[in-house]
Amino acid sequence: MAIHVDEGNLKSGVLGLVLALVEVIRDALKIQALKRMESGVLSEEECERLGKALMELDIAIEEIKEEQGITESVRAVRDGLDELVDDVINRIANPERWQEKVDVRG
Amino acid sequence: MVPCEGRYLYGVVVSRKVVRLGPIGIEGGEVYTIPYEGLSAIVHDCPAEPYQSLDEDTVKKWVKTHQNVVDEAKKQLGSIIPIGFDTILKPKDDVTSPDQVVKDWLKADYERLQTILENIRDKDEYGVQICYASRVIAKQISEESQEIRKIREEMAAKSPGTAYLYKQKVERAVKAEIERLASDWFKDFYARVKRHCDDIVVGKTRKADRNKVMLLNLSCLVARERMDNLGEELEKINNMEGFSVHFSGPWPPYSFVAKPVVPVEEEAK
Amino acid sequence: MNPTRDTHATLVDLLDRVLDKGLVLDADLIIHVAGIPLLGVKLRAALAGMETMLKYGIWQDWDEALRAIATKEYQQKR
Repeated sequence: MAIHVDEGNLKSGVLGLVLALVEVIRDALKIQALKRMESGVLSEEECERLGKALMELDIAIEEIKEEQGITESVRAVRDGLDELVDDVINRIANPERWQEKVDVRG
Repeated sequence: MVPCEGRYLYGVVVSRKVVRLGPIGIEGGEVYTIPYEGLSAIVHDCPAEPYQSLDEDTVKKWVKTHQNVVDEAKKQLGSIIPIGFDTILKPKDDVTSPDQVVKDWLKADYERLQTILENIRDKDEYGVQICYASRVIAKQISEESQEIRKIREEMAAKSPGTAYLYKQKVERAVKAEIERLASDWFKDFYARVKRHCDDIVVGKTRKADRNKVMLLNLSCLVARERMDNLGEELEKINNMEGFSVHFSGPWPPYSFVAKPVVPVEEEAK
Repeated sequence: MNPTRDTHATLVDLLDRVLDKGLVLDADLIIHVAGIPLLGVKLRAALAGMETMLKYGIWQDWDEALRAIATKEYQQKR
Protein backbone atom coordinates (compact mmCIF):
# COMPACT_ATOMS: atom_id res chain seq x y z
CA MET A 1 0.00 0.00 0.00
CA ALA A 2 1.56 3.25 -1.09
CA ILE A 3 1.03 6.15 1.27
CA HIS A 4 1.15 9.42 -0.64
CA VAL A 5 2.05 12.33 1.58
CA ASP A 6 3.17 15.64 0.12
CA GLU A 7 5.58 18.17 1.65
CA GLY A 8 2.72 20.27 2.94
CA ASN A 9 1.00 17.71 5.01
CA LEU A 10 3.92 15.38 5.57
CA LYS A 11 4.16 15.92 9.26
CA SER A 12 0.47 16.08 10.07
CA GLY A 13 -0.31 13.27 7.62
CA VAL A 14 2.00 10.75 9.17
CA LEU A 15 1.38 11.98 12.70
CA GLY A 16 -2.36 11.73 12.20
CA LEU A 17 -2.02 8.13 11.11
CA VAL A 18 0.27 7.26 13.95
CA LEU A 19 -1.95 8.85 16.57
CA ALA A 20 -5.02 7.18 15.14
CA LEU A 21 -3.34 3.81 15.47
CA VAL A 22 -2.08 4.64 18.95
CA GLU A 23 -5.66 5.42 19.94
CA VAL A 24 -6.88 2.13 18.55
CA ILE A 25 -4.19 0.27 20.49
CA ARG A 26 -4.96 2.27 23.62
CA ASP A 27 -8.64 1.31 23.36
CA ALA A 28 -7.67 -2.34 23.08
CA LEU A 29 -5.43 -1.98 26.13
CA LYS A 30 -8.24 -0.43 28.14
CA ILE A 31 -10.46 -3.39 27.39
CA GLN A 32 -7.73 -5.81 28.34
CA ALA A 33 -7.04 -3.95 31.58
CA LEU A 34 -10.70 -4.09 32.52
CA LYS A 35 -10.83 -7.81 31.84
CA ARG A 36 -7.80 -8.41 34.01
CA MET A 37 -9.20 -6.36 36.84
CA GLU A 38 -12.50 -8.21 36.71
CA SER A 39 -10.93 -11.63 36.56
CA GLY A 40 -9.23 -10.92 39.87
CA VAL A 41 -5.66 -11.59 38.76
CA LEU A 42 -4.52 -8.09 39.68
CA SER A 43 -3.83 -6.82 43.18
CA GLU A 44 -5.25 -3.46 44.24
CA GLU A 45 -1.89 -1.85 43.79
CA GLU A 46 -1.48 -3.35 40.31
CA CYS A 47 -4.93 -2.07 39.33
CA GLU A 48 -4.02 1.38 40.52
CA ARG A 49 -0.74 1.41 38.61
CA LEU A 50 -2.30 0.08 35.42
CA GLY A 51 -5.20 2.54 35.61
CA LYS A 52 -2.88 5.45 36.20
CA ALA A 53 -0.62 4.47 33.30
CA LEU A 54 -3.59 4.37 30.92
CA MET A 55 -4.88 7.65 32.26
CA GLU A 56 -1.52 9.26 31.59
CA LEU A 57 -1.43 7.77 28.10
CA ASP A 58 -4.84 9.35 27.46
CA ILE A 59 -3.61 12.74 28.58
CA ALA A 60 -0.43 12.46 26.51
CA ILE A 61 -2.40 11.62 23.38
CA GLU A 62 -4.72 14.57 23.84
CA GLU A 63 -1.78 16.88 24.41
CA ILE A 64 0.02 15.75 21.27
CA LYS A 65 -3.13 16.15 19.20
CA GLU A 66 -3.66 19.66 20.49
CA GLU A 67 -0.06 20.77 20.13
CA GLN A 68 0.23 19.44 16.60
CA GLY A 69 -3.22 20.58 15.54
CA ILE A 70 -4.18 17.14 14.27
CA THR A 71 -7.29 16.37 16.29
CA GLU A 72 -9.48 16.53 13.20
CA SER A 73 -7.06 14.50 11.06
CA VAL A 74 -7.02 11.75 13.61
CA ARG A 75 -10.78 11.68 13.82
CA ALA A 76 -11.03 11.59 10.04
CA VAL A 77 -8.64 8.65 9.80
CA ARG A 78 -10.56 6.75 12.44
CA ASP A 79 -13.88 7.50 10.75
CA GLY A 80 -12.41 6.37 7.44
CA LEU A 81 -11.20 3.18 9.02
CA ASP A 82 -14.65 2.56 10.48
CA GLU A 83 -16.31 3.05 7.12
CA LEU A 84 -13.80 0.81 5.42
CA VAL A 85 -14.50 -1.94 7.89
CA ASP A 86 -18.26 -1.45 7.47
CA ASP A 87 -17.89 -1.62 3.73
CA VAL A 88 -15.80 -4.74 3.80
CA ILE A 89 -18.25 -6.44 6.12
CA ASN A 90 -21.11 -5.37 3.90
CA ARG A 91 -19.41 -6.79 0.86
CA ILE A 92 -18.90 -10.08 2.58
CA ALA A 93 -22.46 -10.17 3.85
CA ASN A 94 -24.13 -9.10 0.60
CA PRO A 95 -22.02 -10.13 -2.36
CA GLU A 96 -25.01 -10.13 -4.73
CA ARG A 97 -25.88 -6.54 -4.00
CA TRP A 98 -22.43 -5.38 -5.05
CA GLN A 99 -22.40 -7.52 -8.15
CA GLU A 100 -25.75 -6.04 -9.19
CA LYS A 101 -24.35 -2.56 -8.80
CA VAL A 102 -21.35 -3.40 -10.94
CA ASP A 103 -23.44 -4.92 -13.74
CA VAL A 104 -25.87 -2.07 -14.01
CA ARG A 105 -23.50 0.81 -13.70
CA GLY A 106 -20.60 -0.67 -15.57
CA MET B 1 -18.77 10.00 -35.03
CA VAL B 2 -22.06 11.83 -34.77
CA PRO B 3 -21.47 14.48 -32.09
CA CYS B 4 -24.79 14.04 -30.35
CA GLU B 5 -25.44 10.39 -30.66
CA GLY B 6 -26.44 9.88 -27.07
CA ARG B 7 -29.79 10.44 -25.45
CA TYR B 8 -29.42 11.43 -21.82
CA LEU B 9 -32.41 10.09 -19.91
CA TYR B 10 -34.13 11.96 -17.10
CA GLY B 11 -37.34 10.02 -16.70
CA VAL B 12 -40.51 8.56 -18.15
CA VAL B 13 -43.97 10.14 -18.15
CA VAL B 14 -47.42 9.40 -19.51
CA SER B 15 -47.69 11.43 -22.69
CA ARG B 16 -48.26 10.92 -26.41
CA LYS B 17 -46.81 14.15 -27.75
CA VAL B 18 -43.43 15.66 -28.41
CA VAL B 19 -43.02 18.37 -25.80
CA ARG B 20 -40.11 20.79 -25.56
CA LEU B 21 -39.08 21.92 -22.09
CA GLY B 22 -36.33 24.29 -23.14
CA PRO B 23 -32.56 24.46 -22.57
CA ILE B 24 -32.83 23.41 -18.95
CA GLY B 25 -30.73 20.26 -19.22
CA ILE B 26 -27.16 19.55 -18.13
CA GLU B 27 -24.68 21.93 -19.74
CA GLY B 28 -27.64 23.77 -21.26
CA GLY B 29 -28.97 20.81 -23.20
CA GLU B 30 -32.34 21.25 -24.88
CA VAL B 31 -34.78 18.97 -23.07
CA TYR B 32 -37.67 17.37 -24.93
CA THR B 33 -39.74 14.20 -25.01
CA ILE B 34 -39.55 11.14 -27.24
CA PRO B 35 -42.92 9.39 -27.23
CA TYR B 36 -43.72 5.79 -27.95
CA GLU B 37 -47.45 5.18 -27.85
CA GLY B 38 -48.69 6.30 -24.43
CA LEU B 39 -45.34 6.87 -22.76
CA SER B 40 -42.59 9.41 -23.31
CA ALA B 41 -38.96 9.59 -22.30
CA ILE B 42 -37.58 12.93 -21.14
CA VAL B 43 -34.21 13.45 -22.82
CA HIS B 44 -31.57 15.80 -24.05
CA ASP B 45 -29.07 15.09 -26.85
CA CYS B 46 -25.52 14.56 -25.73
CA PRO B 47 -22.22 13.04 -26.88
CA ALA B 48 -22.21 9.31 -26.42
CA GLU B 49 -20.19 9.30 -23.23
CA PRO B 50 -20.92 9.87 -19.57
CA TYR B 51 -20.51 13.21 -17.81
CA GLN B 52 -17.47 12.89 -15.61
CA SER B 53 -15.62 15.31 -13.42
CA LEU B 54 -13.36 15.37 -10.41
CA ASP B 55 -14.62 18.78 -9.45
CA GLU B 56 -17.12 18.47 -6.64
CA ASP B 57 -18.93 21.68 -7.51
CA THR B 58 -19.39 20.65 -11.12
CA VAL B 59 -20.94 17.36 -10.13
CA LYS B 60 -23.23 19.04 -7.61
CA LYS B 61 -24.34 21.45 -10.30
CA TRP B 62 -25.06 18.63 -12.72
CA VAL B 63 -27.02 16.68 -10.15
CA LYS B 64 -29.11 19.71 -9.23
CA THR B 65 -29.77 20.37 -12.91
CA HIS B 66 -30.80 16.76 -13.36
CA GLN B 67 -33.24 17.08 -10.49
CA ASN B 68 -34.58 20.39 -11.81
CA VAL B 69 -35.42 18.75 -15.11
CA VAL B 70 -37.22 15.92 -13.34
CA ASP B 71 -39.15 18.46 -11.24
CA GLU B 72 -40.08 20.55 -14.27
CA ALA B 73 -41.19 17.51 -16.24
CA LYS B 74 -43.34 16.45 -13.32
CA LYS B 75 -44.87 19.90 -13.09
CA GLN B 76 -45.76 20.02 -16.78
CA LEU B 77 -46.50 16.40 -17.52
CA GLY B 78 -47.49 14.70 -14.27
CA SER B 79 -46.22 11.58 -12.54
CA ILE B 80 -42.66 10.70 -13.57
CA ILE B 81 -40.43 7.68 -13.15
CA PRO B 82 -37.07 9.21 -12.27
CA ILE B 83 -33.91 7.85 -13.82
CA GLY B 84 -30.50 8.05 -12.20
CA PHE B 85 -27.71 10.36 -13.20
CA ASP B 86 -25.67 9.61 -16.32
CA THR B 87 -28.02 7.08 -17.88
CA ILE B 88 -27.35 7.54 -21.56
CA LEU B 89 -28.64 5.49 -24.47
CA LYS B 90 -26.83 5.29 -27.76
CA PRO B 91 -27.26 3.19 -30.88
CA LYS B 92 -25.27 -0.02 -31.10
CA ASP B 93 -25.03 0.03 -34.87
CA ASP B 94 -24.90 2.51 -37.74
CA VAL B 95 -28.42 1.83 -38.86
CA THR B 96 -30.53 2.71 -35.84
CA SER B 97 -31.08 6.35 -35.02
CA PRO B 98 -30.65 7.50 -31.42
CA ASP B 99 -34.32 8.39 -31.17
CA GLN B 100 -35.22 4.94 -32.37
CA VAL B 101 -33.09 3.36 -29.64
CA VAL B 102 -35.14 5.25 -27.09
CA LYS B 103 -38.41 4.16 -28.67
CA ASP B 104 -37.27 0.55 -28.86
CA TRP B 105 -36.44 0.66 -25.19
CA LEU B 106 -39.82 2.15 -24.28
CA LYS B 107 -41.48 -0.53 -26.36
CA ALA B 108 -39.54 -3.35 -24.73
CA ASP B 109 -40.17 -2.13 -21.19
CA TYR B 110 -43.64 -0.79 -21.82
CA GLU B 111 -45.63 -2.97 -19.46
CA ARG B 112 -43.17 -2.65 -16.62
CA LEU B 113 -43.07 1.13 -16.99
CA GLN B 114 -46.86 1.36 -17.01
CA THR B 115 -47.08 -0.71 -13.85
CA ILE B 116 -44.56 1.45 -12.08
CA LEU B 117 -46.34 4.65 -13.10
CA GLU B 118 -49.59 3.26 -11.82
CA ASN B 119 -48.01 2.34 -8.50
CA ILE B 120 -46.42 5.72 -7.89
CA ARG B 121 -49.31 7.88 -8.98
CA ASP B 122 -50.10 10.61 -6.43
CA LYS B 123 -47.31 9.44 -4.17
CA ASP B 124 -44.02 11.05 -3.25
CA GLU B 125 -40.82 9.80 -1.70
CA TYR B 126 -39.58 11.21 1.60
CA GLY B 127 -36.35 10.66 3.48
CA VAL B 128 -36.61 10.07 7.22
CA GLN B 129 -33.50 9.89 9.39
CA ILE B 130 -33.75 9.54 13.12
CA CYS B 131 -30.71 10.14 15.32
CA TYR B 132 -30.07 10.02 19.03
CA ALA B 133 -27.70 12.34 20.87
CA SER B 134 -25.07 10.07 22.37
CA ARG B 135 -24.15 12.25 25.34
CA VAL B 136 -27.74 12.97 26.32
CA ILE B 137 -28.76 9.34 26.08
CA ALA B 138 -25.62 8.10 27.84
CA LYS B 139 -26.24 10.48 30.71
CA GLN B 140 -29.88 9.42 30.97
CA ILE B 141 -28.91 5.78 31.07
CA SER B 142 -26.14 6.15 33.62
CA GLU B 143 -28.56 7.98 35.89
CA GLU B 144 -31.53 5.70 35.43
CA SER B 145 -29.97 2.27 35.28
CA GLN B 146 -29.68 0.62 38.68
CA GLU B 147 -26.81 -1.53 37.59
CA ILE B 148 -24.83 1.43 36.35
CA ARG B 149 -25.56 3.57 39.39
CA LYS B 150 -24.13 0.78 41.50
CA ILE B 151 -20.90 0.71 39.50
CA ARG B 152 -20.58 4.46 39.83
CA GLU B 153 -20.98 4.26 43.60
CA GLU B 154 -18.21 1.67 43.76
CA MET B 155 -16.09 3.85 41.54
CA ALA B 156 -16.41 6.86 43.84
CA ALA B 157 -14.72 4.92 46.62
CA LYS B 158 -11.67 3.90 44.60
CA SER B 159 -8.25 5.47 44.11
CA PRO B 160 -7.67 7.40 40.86
CA GLY B 161 -6.05 4.67 38.74
CA THR B 162 -8.57 2.06 39.75
CA ALA B 163 -11.40 4.55 39.31
CA TYR B 164 -10.20 5.07 35.75
CA LEU B 165 -10.58 1.36 35.10
CA TYR B 166 -14.04 1.47 36.66
CA LYS B 167 -14.94 4.23 34.25
CA GLN B 168 -14.35 1.70 31.46
CA LYS B 169 -16.82 -0.53 33.21
CA VAL B 170 -19.43 2.20 33.22
CA GLU B 171 -18.81 3.00 29.57
CA ARG B 172 -19.08 -0.63 28.62
CA ALA B 173 -22.33 -1.04 30.53
CA VAL B 174 -23.78 2.12 29.01
CA LYS B 175 -22.79 0.98 25.54
CA ALA B 176 -24.43 -2.42 26.06
CA GLU B 177 -27.60 -0.79 27.34
CA ILE B 178 -27.74 1.59 24.40
CA GLU B 179 -27.35 -1.29 21.98
CA ARG B 180 -30.18 -3.13 23.62
CA LEU B 181 -32.41 -0.07 23.63
CA ALA B 182 -31.43 0.91 20.09
CA SER B 183 -32.89 -2.31 18.83
CA ASP B 184 -36.20 -1.53 20.58
CA TRP B 185 -36.17 2.08 19.40
CA PHE B 186 -35.56 0.99 15.84
CA LYS B 187 -38.50 -1.39 15.86
CA ASP B 188 -40.77 1.16 17.47
CA PHE B 189 -39.89 4.08 15.21
CA TYR B 190 -39.94 1.90 12.13
CA ALA B 191 -43.46 0.68 12.92
CA ARG B 192 -44.68 4.19 13.64
CA VAL B 193 -43.32 5.56 10.37
CA LYS B 194 -44.39 2.60 8.25
CA ARG B 195 -47.98 3.06 9.36
CA HIS B 196 -48.22 6.15 7.16
CA CYS B 197 -46.41 4.77 4.12
CA ASP B 198 -47.42 2.82 1.08
CA ASP B 199 -43.94 1.39 0.88
CA ILE B 200 -40.69 1.77 2.76
CA VAL B 201 -37.01 1.04 2.19
CA VAL B 202 -34.41 0.76 4.95
CA GLY B 203 -31.20 2.51 3.98
CA LYS B 204 -27.68 2.31 5.32
CA THR B 205 -27.09 4.53 8.31
CA ARG B 206 -24.36 7.11 7.88
CA LYS B 207 -22.08 8.91 10.24
CA ALA B 208 -24.10 11.80 11.60
CA ASP B 209 -22.63 14.78 13.47
CA ARG B 210 -20.03 14.42 16.16
CA ASN B 211 -22.52 13.84 18.99
CA LYS B 212 -25.30 12.10 17.14
CA VAL B 213 -25.74 8.51 16.09
CA MET B 214 -28.00 7.67 13.21
CA LEU B 215 -30.52 5.04 14.18
CA LEU B 216 -32.62 4.75 11.04
CA ASN B 217 -32.34 5.94 7.50
CA LEU B 218 -35.63 5.34 5.71
CA SER B 219 -37.01 6.13 2.28
CA CYS B 220 -40.80 6.32 2.39
CA LEU B 221 -43.34 6.21 -0.40
CA VAL B 222 -46.25 8.24 0.90
CA ALA B 223 -49.61 9.02 -0.65
CA ARG B 224 -50.03 12.75 -0.96
CA GLU B 225 -52.99 12.91 1.39
CA ARG B 226 -51.13 11.07 4.15
CA MET B 227 -48.04 13.27 4.25
CA ASP B 228 -49.44 15.40 7.06
CA ASN B 229 -49.99 12.35 9.23
CA LEU B 230 -46.40 11.31 8.73
CA GLY B 231 -45.30 14.84 9.60
CA GLU B 232 -47.24 14.73 12.85
CA GLU B 233 -45.76 11.39 13.83
CA LEU B 234 -42.25 12.65 13.14
CA GLU B 235 -42.95 15.78 15.15
CA LYS B 236 -43.74 13.60 18.17
CA ILE B 237 -40.52 11.66 17.76
CA ASN B 238 -38.49 14.81 17.25
CA ASN B 239 -39.85 16.14 20.55
CA MET B 240 -38.61 13.14 22.50
CA GLU B 241 -35.64 14.00 24.67
CA GLY B 242 -32.39 12.97 23.02
CA PHE B 243 -33.86 12.24 19.58
CA SER B 244 -33.87 14.27 16.41
CA VAL B 245 -35.56 13.76 13.07
CA HIS B 246 -34.39 14.85 9.63
CA PHE B 247 -37.32 14.90 7.23
CA SER B 248 -36.54 15.55 3.57
CA GLY B 249 -38.63 15.66 0.43
CA PRO B 250 -40.83 15.43 -1.48
CA TRP B 251 -38.61 13.57 -3.93
CA PRO B 252 -39.62 11.74 -7.07
CA PRO B 253 -39.71 8.05 -6.10
CA TYR B 254 -36.08 7.16 -6.90
CA SER B 255 -35.99 4.38 -4.32
CA PHE B 256 -39.16 2.72 -5.51
CA VAL B 257 -38.72 2.29 -9.21
CA ALA B 258 -35.86 -0.16 -9.50
CA LYS B 259 -38.22 -3.03 -9.06
CA PRO B 260 -41.96 -2.54 -9.57
CA VAL B 261 -43.79 -1.82 -6.33
CA VAL B 262 -46.07 -4.76 -5.59
CA PRO B 263 -49.47 -3.42 -6.62
CA VAL B 264 -52.05 -3.16 -3.87
CA GLU B 265 -55.12 -5.22 -4.59
CA GLU B 266 -58.04 -2.93 -5.22
CA GLU B 267 -61.52 -3.97 -4.45
CA ALA B 268 -63.88 -3.91 -7.39
CA LYS B 269 -65.64 -0.59 -7.31
CA MET C 1 -43.21 18.66 11.04
CA ASN C 2 -42.66 19.67 7.44
CA PRO C 3 -40.24 18.08 4.98
CA THR C 4 -37.47 20.17 3.45
CA ARG C 5 -35.55 19.96 0.24
CA ASP C 6 -33.33 22.89 -0.23
CA THR C 7 -30.89 22.96 2.62
CA HIS C 8 -27.28 21.92 2.64
CA ALA C 9 -28.24 18.85 4.64
CA THR C 10 -30.69 17.68 2.03
CA LEU C 11 -28.09 17.95 -0.71
CA VAL C 12 -26.76 14.66 0.55
CA ASP C 13 -30.27 13.19 0.39
CA LEU C 14 -30.53 14.36 -3.20
CA LEU C 15 -27.11 13.05 -4.23
CA ASP C 16 -27.82 9.73 -2.60
CA ARG C 17 -30.94 9.32 -4.72
CA VAL C 18 -29.83 10.75 -8.04
CA LEU C 19 -26.42 9.08 -8.06
CA ASP C 20 -27.37 5.66 -6.81
CA LYS C 21 -31.05 5.07 -7.42
CA GLY C 22 -33.70 5.49 -10.07
CA LEU C 23 -35.00 3.26 -12.80
CA VAL C 24 -32.78 0.32 -13.70
CA LEU C 25 -32.26 -0.20 -17.42
CA ASP C 26 -30.96 -3.20 -19.25
CA ALA C 27 -27.19 -2.94 -18.87
CA ASP C 28 -26.77 -3.68 -22.55
CA LEU C 29 -28.32 -0.44 -23.66
CA ILE C 30 -26.50 2.06 -21.56
CA ILE C 31 -23.01 3.38 -21.83
CA HIS C 32 -20.38 1.81 -19.61
CA VAL C 33 -17.03 3.09 -18.65
CA ALA C 34 -15.33 -0.13 -17.73
CA GLY C 35 -13.33 -0.16 -14.54
CA ILE C 36 -13.17 3.59 -14.01
CA PRO C 37 -15.43 5.11 -11.39
CA LEU C 38 -17.97 7.12 -13.33
CA LEU C 39 -18.03 10.56 -11.81
CA GLY C 40 -17.54 12.88 -8.93
CA VAL C 41 -15.10 10.42 -7.44
CA LYS C 42 -14.16 12.85 -4.75
CA LEU C 43 -17.81 13.49 -4.03
CA ARG C 44 -18.72 9.84 -3.81
CA ALA C 45 -15.78 9.20 -1.59
CA ALA C 46 -16.96 11.98 0.68
CA LEU C 47 -20.38 10.39 0.80
CA ALA C 48 -18.90 7.04 1.65
CA GLY C 49 -16.64 8.56 4.28
CA MET C 50 -13.60 7.38 2.43
CA GLU C 51 -12.20 10.82 1.80
CA THR C 52 -9.48 10.23 4.30
CA MET C 53 -8.40 7.12 2.48
CA LEU C 54 -7.97 9.16 -0.66
CA LYS C 55 -6.18 11.91 1.17
CA TYR C 56 -3.58 9.49 2.40
CA GLY C 57 -3.46 7.75 -0.95
CA ILE C 58 -4.11 4.45 0.71
CA TRP C 59 -6.32 3.07 -2.00
CA GLN C 60 -4.18 2.67 -5.07
CA ASP C 61 -7.02 1.72 -7.41
CA TRP C 62 -8.91 4.90 -6.67
CA ASP C 63 -5.73 6.80 -7.10
CA GLU C 64 -5.02 5.40 -10.56
CA ALA C 65 -8.59 6.00 -11.66
CA LEU C 66 -8.41 9.56 -10.40
CA ARG C 67 -5.28 10.14 -12.42
CA ALA C 68 -6.94 8.73 -15.52
CA ILE C 69 -9.88 11.08 -15.19
CA ALA C 70 -7.69 14.04 -14.28
CA THR C 71 -5.55 13.45 -17.35
CA LYS C 72 -8.59 13.30 -19.55
CA GLU C 73 -10.02 16.48 -18.07
CA TYR C 74 -6.73 18.21 -18.57
CA GLN C 75 -6.56 17.12 -22.20
CA GLN C 76 -10.09 18.27 -22.84
CA LYS C 77 -9.35 21.70 -21.48
CA ARG C 78 -6.36 22.24 -23.78
